[in-house]
Amino acid sequence: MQVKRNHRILILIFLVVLSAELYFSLQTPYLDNQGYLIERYTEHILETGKPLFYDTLSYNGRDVLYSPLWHYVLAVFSLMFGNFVFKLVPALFSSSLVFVVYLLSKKIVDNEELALFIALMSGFIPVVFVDSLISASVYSLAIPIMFYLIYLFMDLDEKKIGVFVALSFLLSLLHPVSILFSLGLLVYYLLGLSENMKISNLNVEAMAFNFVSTFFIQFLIYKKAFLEYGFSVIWHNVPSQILGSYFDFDLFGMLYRVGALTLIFGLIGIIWGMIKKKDRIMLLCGFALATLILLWLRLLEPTVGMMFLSVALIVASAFTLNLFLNYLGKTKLPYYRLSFIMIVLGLIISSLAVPSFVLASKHVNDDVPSDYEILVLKWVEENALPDVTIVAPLGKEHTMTAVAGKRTVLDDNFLLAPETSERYRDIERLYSTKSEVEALEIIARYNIDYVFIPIETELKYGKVKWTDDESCFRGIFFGTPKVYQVIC
Amino acid sequence: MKAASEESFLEHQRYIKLFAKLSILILALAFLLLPGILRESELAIGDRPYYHLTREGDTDRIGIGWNFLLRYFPMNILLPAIGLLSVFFIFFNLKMLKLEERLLATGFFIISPAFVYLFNVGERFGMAFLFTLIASYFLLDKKHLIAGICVVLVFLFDIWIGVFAIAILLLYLLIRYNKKKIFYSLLGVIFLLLLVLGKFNAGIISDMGAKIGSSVFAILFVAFCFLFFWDRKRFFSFYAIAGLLFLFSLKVEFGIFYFGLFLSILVGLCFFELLRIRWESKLVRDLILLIFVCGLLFSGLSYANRISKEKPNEDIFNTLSRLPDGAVVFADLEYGNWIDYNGKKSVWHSLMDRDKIETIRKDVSILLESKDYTKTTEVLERYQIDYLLLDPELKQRWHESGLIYLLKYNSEGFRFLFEENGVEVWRFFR
Repeated sequence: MQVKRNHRILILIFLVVLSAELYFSLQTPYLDNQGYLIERYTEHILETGKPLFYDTLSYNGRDVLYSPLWHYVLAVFSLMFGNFVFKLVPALFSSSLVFVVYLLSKKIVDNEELALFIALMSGFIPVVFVDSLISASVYSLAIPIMFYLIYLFMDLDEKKIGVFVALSFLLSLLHPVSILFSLGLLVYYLLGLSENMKISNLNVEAMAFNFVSTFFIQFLIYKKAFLEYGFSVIWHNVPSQILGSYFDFDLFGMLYRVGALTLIFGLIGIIWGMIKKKDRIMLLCGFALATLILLWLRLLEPTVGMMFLSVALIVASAFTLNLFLNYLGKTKLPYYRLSFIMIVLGLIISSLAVPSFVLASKHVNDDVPSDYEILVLKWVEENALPDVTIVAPLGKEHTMTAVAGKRTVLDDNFLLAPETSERYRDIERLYSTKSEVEALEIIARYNIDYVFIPIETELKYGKVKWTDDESCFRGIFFGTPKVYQVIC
Repeated sequence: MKAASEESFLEHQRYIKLFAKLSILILALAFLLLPGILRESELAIGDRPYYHLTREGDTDRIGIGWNFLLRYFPMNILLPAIGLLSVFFIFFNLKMLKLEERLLATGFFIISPAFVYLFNVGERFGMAFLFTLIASYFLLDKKHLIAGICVVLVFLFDIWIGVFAIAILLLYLLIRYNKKKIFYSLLGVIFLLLLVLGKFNAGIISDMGAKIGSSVFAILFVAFCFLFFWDRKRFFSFYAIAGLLFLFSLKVEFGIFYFGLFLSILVGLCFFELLRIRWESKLVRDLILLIFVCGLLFSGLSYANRISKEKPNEDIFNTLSRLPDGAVVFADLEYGNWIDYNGKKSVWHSLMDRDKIETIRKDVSILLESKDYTKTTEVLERYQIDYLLLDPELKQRWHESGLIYLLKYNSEGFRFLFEENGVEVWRFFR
């Protein structure tokens, strides 16, 4: 009966998290820039049954490399839910993290109430919460799978090995972030060796399998990139200008996006677990360390790294809170149990739920195109010739290709893209230069027919002055955004 | 009845062995023919074979033995033939191993990029490699004189492979006659020389874009097995030799073929050892081995596919055929042998003396970097260049160069002659 009650509470937590996510995501009918890219690839699957591996709109046409599994998942669900799928499915998967975290926490502390509490916390990690709203993000599925794999790994036996193998394959097929899981296992293995901990043979075999299968699948999917870039493939062909700012560490930003409570309790849990040589905490520590190493080497996008790190810390914080509760049990504080629960709830709300809601609200307002932008892009779609090229700054390019259906010069899908650093530099110069000659040179180089100037660009670089030459640039829209047609 | 069933069991075993040997033969044939089948034209792959084809019969150039053979035998027959012979001799050389280990090691070598390159690209290395295998076979068979003759023959194909063969022969004899001190001293000297001399070539993994390389899965597999078997005496010596050959292949171009062969033997041995050791989960064991086999196959197949798409193509040859014989045609380094093969004169080619290449490279960098007409024409005149050949790849490679700029905007010294399927020819008026 007790079990049933906890399960009911867990389902309730799941529904609360799901409702909160849907509440924010349904405040706008649009997606963010990344969401539009996923929508376009998914629609291509729906139309042709095949993934899009030659994108005619990106960089004026080029090969694209990605694992299409996530797009297939969305395509299948879209048969039932239509366009609602890009908000519902990520929210469903992302909310299911509460079940995984519940299982993990229960395994670490063997305290059902605390596990439920941690599960609730995991539903409102700001950086994870925001990611699954309007981006149709693959991480909404990758994170629960990865942490479920950790759960399986903690108590691996002959019965679970089959599931572990299958999910390892699935994760590798889903996204290259599976490498993070393999590295986490490796770091755990090395930590175990250094601490003289006994790691069972089955676990070592599972680790070996995971490493081999992940490596093989990534090689299979990204063969072209490996051939093209060799070992430099790890930098994803990201323009040097962007790569330079990949690890601009911002402690307060991190506290806010991961949650101060998560960070503090999680770190204490990991350090304490390591001191006490707790095997399961060591595993989480392995993941946290692997993530930090990848972040430090600029091999992982900061936001992505923070997502995985924050979930690992949330689970580790179960250990800290359990220690704390045990300590409280020995003091007079149990008499004030209700007050204590209220204080902790208050802390959660202030450090997790409030930042989550603030960030989510900001994200759905700022990172989606405005109604006017969509109107402009629809006009371009209907009135411009089909094979024209529009230049847009980074951050708007996928919206442009998805809504207007026109070619762009640059987008953030850098792998296999031609001359990314040069193009990035040229586009920055195009929007910032005062010289019409320089602008026309860039326009000619990339065969640009339309110039799209969003308000963000004007705020960053000031007014784009060379568009004033009416003999060369015909203004079509003058609001926010502005659109000019190149006529000379 | 019992005797009869034993006999039938032995008969069955014999058939299985025969079937396995035939399978290896078929596999070898498949990998020897695959790039040719995938290739859209009949043209030989790469630029270096054209060096030998241009100089067939010449006895004062690189690879005189290979040039000589090409005079009498067509390359597309010679290559599969020496490939098959090499497979036989690898198999014979591994007689100290169990049959299944020999078969598997040979099979792994056949699907390796090294094998695909050796016997599909008509370079001199394939024949030299075969003679070292024959020499090794006779050496192991204690027929030292024939082995010595084979080593001498290696020199006809490649001098440096000949030197390598002599060094290996010497090391073998030292260990065989128990001269361990001299053996280790010599080994130490070789090791030091390898570290000190020449430049390291990091591109030795074909899956990472290397022109000639090993499979990343083979390297990963032996590295993975090292964790399990490093303390076993048999494996330790194998790993030590593999390590030395790896270092050797980082320095010397042809080293990769011998490293590839040794790597395949090691993969075969490790494969069976992994099958023998105790696993908690048979599922995991089988899947790991399956993934590695698929990975090795994937490397070989993708390499075969890659080299089948290598240049030259018909367009380049058709364009060159329209130019007058003896005219000097300028293009990038790897186009030189194609130009020569078509009866024209190249400015440079990949088998030239290294110092000479470096000198020309400096002049070519002037052509590419400078937009100064005088400087450019000075270089073009120095090399008596009549025509400039630009195919789509060169146009892409040199798209922002001074030479392309001058071709576009200077009609005084250059004239566009014609274009055939994207391959352009420009005339330079000296």
